[in-house]
Amino acid sequence: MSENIHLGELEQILLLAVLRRRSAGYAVPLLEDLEAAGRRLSRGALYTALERLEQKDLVRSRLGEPLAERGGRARRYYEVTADGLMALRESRRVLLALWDGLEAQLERS
Amino acid sequence: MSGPSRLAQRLLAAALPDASRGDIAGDLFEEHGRRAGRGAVRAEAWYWAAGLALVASYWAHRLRGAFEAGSGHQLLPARGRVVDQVTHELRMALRGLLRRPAVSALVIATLAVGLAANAALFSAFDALMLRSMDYPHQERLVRAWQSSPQTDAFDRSTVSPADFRDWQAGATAFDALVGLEWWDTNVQGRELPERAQGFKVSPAFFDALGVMPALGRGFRADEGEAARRHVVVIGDGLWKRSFGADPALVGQSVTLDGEAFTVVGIAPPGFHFPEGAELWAPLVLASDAPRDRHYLSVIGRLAAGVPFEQGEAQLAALTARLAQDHPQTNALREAVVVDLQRGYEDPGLRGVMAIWQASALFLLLIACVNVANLTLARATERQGELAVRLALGAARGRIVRQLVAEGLVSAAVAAVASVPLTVLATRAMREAMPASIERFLPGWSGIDVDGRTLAFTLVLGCLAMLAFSAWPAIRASRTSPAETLRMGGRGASGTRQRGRNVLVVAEVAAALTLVVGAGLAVRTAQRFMDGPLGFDPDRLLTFSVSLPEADYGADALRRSGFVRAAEERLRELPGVVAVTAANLLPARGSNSSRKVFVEGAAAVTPEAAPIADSRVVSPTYFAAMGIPLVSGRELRASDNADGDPVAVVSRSFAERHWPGQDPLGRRFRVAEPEAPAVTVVGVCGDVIHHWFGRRDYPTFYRPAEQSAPYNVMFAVRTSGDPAPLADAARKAIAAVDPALPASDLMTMRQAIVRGTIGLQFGAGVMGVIAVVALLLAISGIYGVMAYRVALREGEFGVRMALGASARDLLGLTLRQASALAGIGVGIGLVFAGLLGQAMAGAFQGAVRPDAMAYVATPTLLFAVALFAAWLPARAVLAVDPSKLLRSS
Repeated sequence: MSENIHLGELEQILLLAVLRRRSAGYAVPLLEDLEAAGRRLSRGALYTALERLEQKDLVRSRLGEPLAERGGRARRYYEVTADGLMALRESRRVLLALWDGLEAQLERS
Repeated sequence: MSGPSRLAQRLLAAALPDASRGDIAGDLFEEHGRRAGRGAVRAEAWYWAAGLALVASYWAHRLRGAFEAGSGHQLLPARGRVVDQVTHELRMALRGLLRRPAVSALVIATLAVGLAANAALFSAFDALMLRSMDYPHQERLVRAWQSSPQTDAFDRSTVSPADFRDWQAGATAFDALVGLEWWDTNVQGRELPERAQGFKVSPAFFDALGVMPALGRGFRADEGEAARRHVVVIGDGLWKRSFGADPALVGQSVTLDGEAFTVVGIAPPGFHFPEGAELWAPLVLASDAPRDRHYLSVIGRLAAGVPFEQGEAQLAALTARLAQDHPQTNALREAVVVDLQRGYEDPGLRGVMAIWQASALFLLLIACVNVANLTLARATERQGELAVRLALGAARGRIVRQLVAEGLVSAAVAAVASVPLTVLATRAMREAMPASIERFLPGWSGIDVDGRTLAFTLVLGCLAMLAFSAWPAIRASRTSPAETLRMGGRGASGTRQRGRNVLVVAEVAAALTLVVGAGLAVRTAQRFMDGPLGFDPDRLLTFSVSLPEADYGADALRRSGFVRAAEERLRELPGVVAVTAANLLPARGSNSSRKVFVEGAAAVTPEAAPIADSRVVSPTYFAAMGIPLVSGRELRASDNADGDPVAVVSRSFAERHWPGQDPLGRRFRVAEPEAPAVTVVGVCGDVIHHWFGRRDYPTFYRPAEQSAPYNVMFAVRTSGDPAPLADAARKAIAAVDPALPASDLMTMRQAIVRGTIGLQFGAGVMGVIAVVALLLAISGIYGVMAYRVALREGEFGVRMALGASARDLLGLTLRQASALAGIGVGIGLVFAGLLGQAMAGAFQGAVRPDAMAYVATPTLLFAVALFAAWLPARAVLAVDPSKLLRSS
């Protein structure tokens, strides 16, 4: 995998949300988690972003069992792939490096 | 947990075609479930909103994906911009609509009402005409008649049993040909006897339709033999009503018309084929079945792979051979084959539906004109802005696009808003139809909003909006920027003014057409309710008794004896003024007619003999019913089996057969040329027998003692309200013969209401459409007039400054308005005339266009248009002229 994968902000947030849910994340709780964290996302944007992440091999998905509470339809569970983890690590590294030493300034303003 | 409404789910599934996205629908379903606890309505609303948003972003995404995938890399940015532009345009449009919420809401509401009316009537059309029947492989089902040259009204005749047997033997193109014979029967239920509508059917009936009884079985082939015919399949409704839905009824014996039948099956719920049937028993075709009596309906299932035309040709060939072999009876008969659906639909229905749909389209037209008007006003308002942009080099196309985008967004919102309206309207339609009538309307209960209706609405809405917003938009973009800018952005060029004039004219014309049409329908329904009937319908209790052939068939004297005894019993009841009996009473549905051969008239072949309605009545009939005697005498008790055959004929009968002559003492023969001659002893007034019936339909009345009927209808004239007498009447009949139920008890007034329900319902629908149309038209006319006046404020100011009085200017405005309204009324009258003709045709002469419709309605609409012009003009003229001048 190349090292030049740069995550967009939304991608980063989503990957984190998926990661937090371990491999039990699907759209409904992901939206809730994002909203709880202060980030409102439209449903369409979520699906589109997840699809893009999957195309980039940063997450993978699998279908669960059909459930009565979903009108007999299955959940699509997402989990972060190794590439996704690598990309997250990379972006965390970059961010932390840039954040370093700025805390005091931000606190002040 | 019930989940979101099926409609919403189906829409979502349709809009997200990607099969792999079932999980997305599942997410919405799950969230709906969580929200349902806090209120079902809110959850449903959330589901719709979330679904729509999702669908929108899904398609935007897909579209963009398609553009990207389908283009080379160099082209990508340019193509991508097209999509962005569309999104941008739509967003701008939405913002534009939200900026003027009141006007936008009006446009959308107007359009939604118009769309809902169309969708509701389309769903009725869809249910009644396009899929009123739903049998497996229905494309292979047909109905067959023979044409019967002697009936002038309706060129279709039922088939004689002998002809039917020959058809069955020769029709290899069909898997099955099924004969059906009308079979009214008395059912001895668990408690009370009941009269039910049955049909004797060829044993293959259920197989041919592909319908399996819900319990038990259909008929076996050998049950078409006389010895095994005592089996019956019972309809779901009758089973529940009279037998307590007892599943053990299958295999048990029931008494029908005094004979024991073994129940072999229970029909599935909702199965009433044909014509509201609730009982089916095997039809037996005797080897000596007659060829000259035509009473079988015939349906058939084509063999697999056989085209309709081949089946039709085969029956035609068989019928032609029968005409050669049996010239006496069949010389003029030909086969008529149509698909099953058409074969059983009400012959008047197509016309009625067409008129409804046309009315709804006119309503939509009015709504669209209002929309166009508002778009035009908006374009004019923004003319300054548009002119500046044009002058700065903006493409005309872009400006048109923006105005059209607003139209399309309104159309989409209106289409969505029309869905609940449509649901309400269809529900109201379904519930307005009494259950006793609905049984006879195949498909009525299926009137519902489904994907087809919604697709229809959406397409109609978008087309309408495209047409009606593109036109003013293009018009607006054609301005000369220089001129507009010079006029301070408020220019009202001549062409624009003409455009608005066209709108007013169209609106007046469409509204006039609808209101005239509705007026005709409503007045026709009223006339049937209240108009002269030829007899006195008040304080009259009616019911019928069917004398089973097993007990009463052998002896006509037994039947007339029953009638006499029952009349006597009824006469003894308190409050009864008069009692009479007949084979048929007016307004009670069925009819009986016979060929007549008039002595002294030019000889005719039996096939071509004229037909008259035949009634068999007690001597008290004319007095009890209040039918006036014109000349001669009434029937007497002495006109019995021992006396000479006599008849009283209706005035129209006498005028048709003996014009200008004295009909008394003339003679005619009934049914066949060799029958005993009947002497006319009296002439009575004409009577309306049924709602489609013409008043002058020739009728002859013969004494019951000389031709005793099997079906007897009693009419009891009371001094007060006849309804409370029902129980006593029932008991009186039971006292004469405990096995005979008195069925269909109702007052004559109720019977008339029932007989005219179709017409009244049609009139009601038209009335609602017309009222809505009138309201929309008034608001539209007012809007246009107000706008015209507003545009001329400056001109008014100048004129007043130059000495014109407010009166002059008001007069000027009204003159212009009346010219427009006049043209609208003129065009509207042409359309209204056409609609009147169409209605007269569809309601078979029941609707009579009259002067009232063509004078009063136009006058009213003209006045409304003037009033709509006067209101805004007066408001403007009340303002100080100097202010008007300044505002320009």
